[in-house]
Amino acid sequence: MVFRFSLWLSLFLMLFSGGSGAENAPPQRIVSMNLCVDQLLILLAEPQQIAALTQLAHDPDASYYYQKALAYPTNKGLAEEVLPFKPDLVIAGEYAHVATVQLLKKLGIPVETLPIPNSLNEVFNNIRRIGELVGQPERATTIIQQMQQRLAQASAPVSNAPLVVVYEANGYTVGDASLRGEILHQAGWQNAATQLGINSYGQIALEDLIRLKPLALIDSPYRAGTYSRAQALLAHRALKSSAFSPHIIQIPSKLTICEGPWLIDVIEQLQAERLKLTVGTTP
Amino acid sequence: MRYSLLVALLSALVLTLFISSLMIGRNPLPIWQAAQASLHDTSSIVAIILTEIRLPRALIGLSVGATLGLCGAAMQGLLRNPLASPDLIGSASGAALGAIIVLYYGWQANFSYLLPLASMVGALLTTLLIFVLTGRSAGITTLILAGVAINALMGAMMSLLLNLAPSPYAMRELVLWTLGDLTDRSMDDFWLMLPFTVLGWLLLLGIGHGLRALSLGEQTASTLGVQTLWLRWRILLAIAFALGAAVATTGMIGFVGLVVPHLLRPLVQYDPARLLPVSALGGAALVLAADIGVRLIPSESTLQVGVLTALVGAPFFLHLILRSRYEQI
Repeated sequence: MVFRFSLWLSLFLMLFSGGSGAENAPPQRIVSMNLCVDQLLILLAEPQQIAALTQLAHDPDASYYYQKALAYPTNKGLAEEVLPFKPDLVIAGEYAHVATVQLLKKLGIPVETLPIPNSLNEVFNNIRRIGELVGQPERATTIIQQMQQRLAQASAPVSNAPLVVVYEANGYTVGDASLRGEILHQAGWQNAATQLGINSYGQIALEDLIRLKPLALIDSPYRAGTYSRAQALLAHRALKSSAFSPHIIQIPSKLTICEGPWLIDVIEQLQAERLKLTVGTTP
Repeated sequence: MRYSLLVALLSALVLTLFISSLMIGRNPLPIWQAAQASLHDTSSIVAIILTEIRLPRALIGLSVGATLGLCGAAMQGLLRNPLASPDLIGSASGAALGAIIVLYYGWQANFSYLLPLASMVGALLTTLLIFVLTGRSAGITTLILAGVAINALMGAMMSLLLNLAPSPYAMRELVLWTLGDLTDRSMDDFWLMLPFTVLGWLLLLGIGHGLRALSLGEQTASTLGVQTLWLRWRILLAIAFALGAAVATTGMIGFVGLVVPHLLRPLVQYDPARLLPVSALGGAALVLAADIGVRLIPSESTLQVGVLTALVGAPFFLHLILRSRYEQI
């Protein structure tokens, strides 16, 4: 009887203390299932908190923190790969496989998903969110403040912003309602894609691009130097003809695939390119 | 007289479609104004759109279509088989495989002519394989079955190689190679394919007499002084050159080589010699028309030109199979 009571008591205490303790103690074995979560974890979490990153984190073209990521094991986003790490938190992207996420939840593993940001404000939200999840809210706040300060210094109103267009493999581009669209504006450019009615993402036909006649194209090639028809489009003769040879601004793909403080570097680079290209043409 | 009228009509049709192809696109192009601008001042926007985007597209459509029609007619004449065409028996998929190996694995970077050459070798090897497999006077079923097997093998190889290719966009381009695509090809592509195409066409010049004799049977042709072995090799090489160049540029545009000679054969009184030039014209007209069609159909992403030729060609193919069955009964 006494034994039984003490068992109940200890069980009750365990549940109670365990429950309240887990809420405060930050997770110690975090597994990421998304490249951009990888970056924010390396940025914000303590190294020993990270159990595994995604396989793409070890791709120097895709991963900003490629060097740091090499220290961690990776997964390809399958439930059976995630489980052996015995995670106490799994963070996935917005478009993670629903079945995988459901399976992990069913097995009692907490799964959080991180949305894809469409503006700088949403980038700050994501940084804040990961900061809270890994138990480093102050670190996140400091980083956001630093970004905002640099942003305030970088962006100044431009009277006649020149036309630019993001032109990637297969002619894919972004509109104003996207993160990269906002970055163009912050750097003092005007996005030509909006003239075609492209709001967030879309494709620009070569003929339309030539009619728009932007001052510059922004190319952020992933795995440059490989061949596909999609990538070969940027080498089309029509883009090199004397009337229209837009300046091509190259931004490494690891800076544009995921969100993070490096986005301010992108804004500064785009602004420097704008000043270089418009010098002498505008007062 | 009737033959010259047919040639004139088809030429007029090709010319009309060619000019329409220059005019139709994302936005209507004032073609006369653009042509004048391109002569006087190359720096205008309309001139760039005309000379660097629409002109190569129309020229490539014209020459690829002519090649497909011509190769179909030549192969049907040589094999005396109405269902033979380079895409059905697998020559085109061999050419596409050659192009994929060279393009996606970065081997054409140093030497651009490697692309049509590899495509040519692919077409040559697959066609040879079919000839060896089916023998000299192959029945329809043997030929088609061999073609099915070769096409399946080449298709699997293409899929595998594109999957393993270093570019992250490669796999999605399988559809361009299997259905054919003329979007955003440039004058560079046209100049690259032109010498091989012309060489292929030249090899087919004057084979009409041999094909006529061959339609009486191989032995009769030999007694009439036709060197059938040389004729066979000549057609094989011609198909390899012209088709290789065409497929390397646009991918496989199906059914043109099958349908066009068939439709035109009664109009030239079943004469295999006269069928060659009209099939070239008919093929050019069909590909130009299909390419205009894919631009007119409102679709989110670009539609492949082979979709339209297959929509026309596949039912036609079924009709041919049914007819050949009734004739056997």
